[in-house]
Amino acid sequence: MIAKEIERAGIPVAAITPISLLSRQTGASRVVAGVKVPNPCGDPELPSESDRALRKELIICALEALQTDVKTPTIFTPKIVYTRG
Amino acid sequence: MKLEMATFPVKNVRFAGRTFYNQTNLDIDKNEITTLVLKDKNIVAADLEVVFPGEEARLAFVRDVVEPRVKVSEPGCIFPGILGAVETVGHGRTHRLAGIAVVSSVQYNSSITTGTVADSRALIDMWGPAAEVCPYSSLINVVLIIKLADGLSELEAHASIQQAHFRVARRLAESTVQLETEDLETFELGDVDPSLPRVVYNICFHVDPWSPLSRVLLYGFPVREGLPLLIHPNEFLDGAVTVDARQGGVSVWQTWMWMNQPMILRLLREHGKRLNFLGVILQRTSFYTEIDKEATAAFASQVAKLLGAEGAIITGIPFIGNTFFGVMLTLKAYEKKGIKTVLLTPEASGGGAGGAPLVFCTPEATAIVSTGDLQRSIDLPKPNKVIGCDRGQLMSETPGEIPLDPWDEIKSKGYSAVEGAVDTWGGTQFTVKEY
Repeated sequence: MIAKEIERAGIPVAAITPISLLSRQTGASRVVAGVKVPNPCGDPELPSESDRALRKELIICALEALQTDVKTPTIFTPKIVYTRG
Repeated sequence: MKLEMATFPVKNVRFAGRTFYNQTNLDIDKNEITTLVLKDKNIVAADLEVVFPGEEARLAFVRDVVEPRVKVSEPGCIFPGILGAVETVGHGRTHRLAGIAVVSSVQYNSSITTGTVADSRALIDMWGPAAEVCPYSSLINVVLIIKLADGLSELEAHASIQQAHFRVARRLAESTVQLETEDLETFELGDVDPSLPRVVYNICFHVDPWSPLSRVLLYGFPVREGLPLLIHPNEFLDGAVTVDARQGGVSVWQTWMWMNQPMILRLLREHGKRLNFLGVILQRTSFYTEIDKEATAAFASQVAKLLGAEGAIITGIPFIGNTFFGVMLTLKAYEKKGIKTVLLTPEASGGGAGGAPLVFCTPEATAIVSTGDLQRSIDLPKPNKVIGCDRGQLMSETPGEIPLDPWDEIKSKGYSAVEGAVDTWGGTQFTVKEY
């Protein structure tokens, strides 16, 4: 909802959230699929190098989303393979 | 599986020389009960008090509430896996004392001092506005007041509290073991007219993944991040599902309510008449990634599909937040498989008009029953008597929270402080009027 208001002021927003469904409902235009609710932008359970690479990929994806023209709410998925074990 | 439930109502309770039940009168030998409880070295003090509905009395530091029941025939025991071996229950004969509950009021030094998985304490008022929303205020409450030793882990604390109140509950019910009654009810899922609609009941519940304990236990087994499981409704009646004994309030239903589950009892009673009740699916929905939420939704709906369910009742959880997504995704998965659903849930519109009542909703959710707003607040008046808390002592709902004074009036308190005050299962007395 904050995203929607900022966009209304004319500033594009890329929202990183693990619950992409919600963002579609509240109308944010650019949604980046995050990792997990307690840690959407990274994964502290990974070794620090892997976590850093994951975080970098997420931010790059968000920056690319900001530069993309969208007509309807769009979900951007970062190029990561997310596995749970 | 056929279960015969024999009900022995209790209208009078008093302390006497021996524990004895006779025609609605229950005598309790206080010494016998406290000695039983103090056998656990982790419990350093135990006392017993009785309160009656209508008394201006408040119970503080309340944890779990239990109905006295005992199995009088093989196989299995009451609270299997906890008071005895693990063996599937829900058949044979069980005796229950009705109109009475064992309430544990426990104080101890918490080792987790903040957050959602810390122990939580609740209040029960036997009169007034809180009594209207609390399902236990209309029962005669036998309060087991316990102090635990210092230095216990949360798991040890839970184990001591749970063993204590389950043993007391069973001991009280044992006073009926040799007795007969005409108040008998038989529960079974017998053969029915094949044209009746096939209905399954999906219970969603919440466990934080970082909790040291599972909020919900099945035969004493911690469900935690487990998969959805099909359970016979009778198993609930013999105490197969129990809970984290340290937590009072609304985050998890009390054992009493799991044993007297309103939806399950209603479905059992309608079986063969209006519907064909296939069973209960117990599902943990609080997963923290979207893909895991979709997974549990797929698993639960697939169990129902394999059973040939045509309809499903889904009940929500008192956390209308991220964990509610799992509930909605489950509903969506059911509908996608062609099973018609009805969702029963409380709303969280922020205490006034204009907010969205549910944080998330899918278009497939076309039939929803609301049990009211879980974010209302009530004023609790000053009591004459407080049990479980000394005068001058304060109680926080969770360690680290701003404490309240149970001896005083408490204004604008949210429902979370009152034991069992948020209805997620349809047992509420409240209805709705449209203006």
